[in-house]
Amino acid sequence: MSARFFNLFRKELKKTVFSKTFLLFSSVIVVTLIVSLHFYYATLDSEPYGSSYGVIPFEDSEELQAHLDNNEEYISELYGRLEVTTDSNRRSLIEKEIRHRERLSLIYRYLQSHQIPYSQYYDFGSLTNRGYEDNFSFFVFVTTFPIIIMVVGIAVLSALIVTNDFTIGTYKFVYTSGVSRTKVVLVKLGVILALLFSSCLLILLAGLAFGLLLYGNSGKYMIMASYSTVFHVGITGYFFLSLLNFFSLGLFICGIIFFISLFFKNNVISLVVSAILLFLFLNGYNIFEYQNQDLAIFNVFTSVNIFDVFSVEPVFDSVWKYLGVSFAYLLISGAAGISWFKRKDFC
Amino acid sequence: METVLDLVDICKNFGRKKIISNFSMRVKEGRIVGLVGPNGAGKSTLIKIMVGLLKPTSGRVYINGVSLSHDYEKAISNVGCIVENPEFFPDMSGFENLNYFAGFRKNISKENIAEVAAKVGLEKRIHDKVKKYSLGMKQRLGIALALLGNPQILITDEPFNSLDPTSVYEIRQLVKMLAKDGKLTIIISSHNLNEIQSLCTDVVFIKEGRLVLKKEMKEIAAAVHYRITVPEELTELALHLLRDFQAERTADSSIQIAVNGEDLNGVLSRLLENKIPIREIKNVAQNLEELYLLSTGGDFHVS
Repeated sequence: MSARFFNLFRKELKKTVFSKTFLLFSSVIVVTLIVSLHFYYATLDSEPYGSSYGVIPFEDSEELQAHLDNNEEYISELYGRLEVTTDSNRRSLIEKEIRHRERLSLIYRYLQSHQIPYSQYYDFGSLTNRGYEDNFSFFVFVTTFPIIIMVVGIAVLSALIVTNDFTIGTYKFVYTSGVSRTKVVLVKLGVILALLFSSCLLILLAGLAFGLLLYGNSGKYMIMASYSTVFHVGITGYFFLSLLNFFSLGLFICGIIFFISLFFKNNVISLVVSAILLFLFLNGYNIFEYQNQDLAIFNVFTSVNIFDVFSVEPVFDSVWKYLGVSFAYLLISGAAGISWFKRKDFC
Repeated sequence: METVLDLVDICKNFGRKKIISNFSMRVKEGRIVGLVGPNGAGKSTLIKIMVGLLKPTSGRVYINGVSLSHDYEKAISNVGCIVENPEFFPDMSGFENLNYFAGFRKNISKENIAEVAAKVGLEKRIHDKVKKYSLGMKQRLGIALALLGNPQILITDEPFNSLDPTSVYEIRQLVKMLAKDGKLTIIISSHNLNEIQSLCTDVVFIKEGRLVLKKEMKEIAAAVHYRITVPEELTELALHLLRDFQAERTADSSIQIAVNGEDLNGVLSRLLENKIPIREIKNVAQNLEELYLLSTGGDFHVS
């Protein structure tokens, strides 16, 4: 059974990899990656830290202590203002500022405790708002666009891998050829997940290889801050973090779109629905900005977001949790999709 | 001969519309069964139910005694089928298509694929892209695909549809060749009565989702169909007396019977001996076409 399953998987993978859609997206990704690398390399010297990455002028620990003291003083002042303010709008603004400042203190203390020197090049506004500081990461610059194109490409493939059989008419052979519908669908899903993981891996490996060549493995810190924790990673660390992060994202999006295609069995409808979903995934956080944060984890469009995974008051403070939730969504939508698909009439 | 395909009381509704009603049929090993009916009679629906593409609203399909709904993989492993027009991945060659679909069957080697390609006469064009194939070649590739894994039953839906005369001839010869050793059971749905008559051992007429007639072709060839009219109040008695001739009641309360000339004398004697007056005897059908029109409500009579 397993040999037959593997054989089927191998043939489905080969067919998909040599499909026009996959070849088109792969070419675009390769070109985008080369262009990104070229631009990054070409503009290295014009950046303030540019090619001196790793030897940037860090300021001493006294500077960091001064920033921390100033911030703490300001927080006390804000609490004082809060006590005497009755206007609700104003109170809300002060509370927001306190939250921001407390987060900043958290980051300063983290830098202190890990002997990470303070630098003017850290964008603390970005850290407290977006949750990560990417000024020191070539990685984001080099891999963001290829990764986004990859996620969109694999999402399109997820929609087409089932519906193409119905559009071309090959479903009449596929679903009468001696393998149950559930197994056929699982093989196709397996192919999508394999392509997703390998594409993520290859793109990020290209970024990693470039970074290691340029800066070595001792690269400086990419500081990340969630609502309650702060951590930092180097080049290799960021590679693994990105791999988990983007694989989780792709896993969730492709899983949902794949199972939507099981419901519609039509190329055009599946692609249109996929496009709407991708739009919501890309912009969900803005659209549902005023949603109750306690419920945000249940809203897929806020909890899974290409640009804001580590966003303002992030829903997931760990990529492992993110991966777990993505798998949970995949399992639920998978069970629902397969259960529907195996009972459906194929006219 | 064993029953290889057993349809038991199949019903299929789409919404409120009944497409198939209480359809039962048994097919023995090695038979070639022609499934004939007018457009919209439910032939394709029935074939899709036989291969599991459609789920019956009620009733069961057994293939070699295995229920299709209970153990789909085991049941369908004995079936090769071409439903409606065979469609393939156009940018892949015939061989690549066969090789891809071979992954769904157990233990099929590239030699097996080459073998079936040769069997259907496609060995010279098997490495061409399918988009360059004619409809006849696609039909043959479909048969090759259906034959992968040595099925016991081959089900083809309208294999002669839209084919030019040469392709029709080729497909007919191919089906005859496949049926030669008597091990493969073939079910062909078609409008083409001449092809059904020349290929099939049995014929099944279907109308409005109901089985209206199932006969062996040799019975049809040997017998002439007569319609005998007796007084309406004596029809039941006449049917009872003629039960060993498989007499059937028609819509206008006549009796329809298929017998050869000698048996007709016996039929008439038996009625007269029992004092049943015969008002009219009509020869209504002598060949498959006439029988088809008669059974499916065509207004056709041979006087």
